[in-house]
Amino acid sequence: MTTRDEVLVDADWVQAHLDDPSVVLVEVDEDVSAYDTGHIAGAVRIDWTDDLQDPVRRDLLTKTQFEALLSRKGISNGDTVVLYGGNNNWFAAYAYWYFKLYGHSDVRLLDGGRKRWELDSRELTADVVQREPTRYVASEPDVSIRAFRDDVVAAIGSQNLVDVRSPDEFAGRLLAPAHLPQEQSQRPGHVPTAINVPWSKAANDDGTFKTDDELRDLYGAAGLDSDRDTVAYCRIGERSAHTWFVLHELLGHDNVKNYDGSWTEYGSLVGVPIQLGAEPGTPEGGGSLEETS
Amino acid sequence: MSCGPLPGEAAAPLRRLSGNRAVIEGVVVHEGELARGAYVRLLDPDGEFVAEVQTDWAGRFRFYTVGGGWTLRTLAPGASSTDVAVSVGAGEVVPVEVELG
Repeated sequence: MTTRDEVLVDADWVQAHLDDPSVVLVEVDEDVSAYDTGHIAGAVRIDWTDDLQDPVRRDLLTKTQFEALLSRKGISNGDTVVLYGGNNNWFAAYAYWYFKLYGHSDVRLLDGGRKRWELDSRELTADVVQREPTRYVASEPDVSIRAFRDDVVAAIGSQNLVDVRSPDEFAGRLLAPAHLPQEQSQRPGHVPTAINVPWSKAANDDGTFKTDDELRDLYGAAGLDSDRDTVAYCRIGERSAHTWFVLHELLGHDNVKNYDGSWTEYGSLVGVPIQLGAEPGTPEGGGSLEETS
Repeated sequence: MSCGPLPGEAAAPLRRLSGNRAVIEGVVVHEGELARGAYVRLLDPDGEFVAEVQTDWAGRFRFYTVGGGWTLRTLAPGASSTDVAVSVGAGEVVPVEVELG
């Protein structure tokens, strides 16, 4: 089992390792302008949209594509990779899960990401970062941490399903976060028997993770059975990567999978059960919005 | 494909509001200056996180939301966390000035 120190570093640690050649800082954003306006000195950029998705199919990069990406970015197998980003580290957590999927041995998150760094008034630079290309070799993908749609259907009523979207998205009142028009599923609702623990409950206002004790209390009170396997999902798999990090890396639960297809896939499948309303519901699904609104 | 702020969203023309949609927008001020890069959170009546944006170069932010009662929680370097309660009706655009302590 990992410990918090092995997977999470604070801003002081990063500051102290800015000149450490064995440490590679990687900023992972979805807002492509963020890195250009300022990044931590020496950090390379991985763009969530352009770098971490297959350009044609809806899928993760293949092993070969991932090797090419990391080689291009100048990352070696032996490097300590520290990921950080905006959006309370959602996309950095997604990249962390990706690095683990392809077997990178030493990868960590900067607790609080860009936000905590900025709130501390620490330095950001617009300097161009160039690293020598490497010959990165990835492992075969570790699918023990990735859920596919059939895994999710099989988990209904038998495993922990953790829906980390907002209560309105969970209940089916919204298809996407309220403030932006975005890609959507065909149907609203949640996977029957899923519990709703929004990602934000695992983090403090400054984006840092809550303590292990607070996190254990949070998921325990929500009904997560730590003796069962778990699948976490959201809408496109990045908020649930944040929760996957909490459950698998911080709390050390075995057999936690992130479902990157998430609700945009599940809510568009033909013939699978869906539950509406605030309750987890029964394996058959059903319910209605009226019961809970 | 974002759950975060669109670049320039606070300065873009307002999108048409249909149904119960509403807008909360404004500026963040710290020590008499417009605060660039402040983090503004929109919390629902249960205190639940709904969205978060960063103010632009002119200290501006904007949330597309729905009518109701909301709280804006703002964090910025050198300032203490500041909550402002906002009530907005369906179809309304409510301007807010957040003054940081």
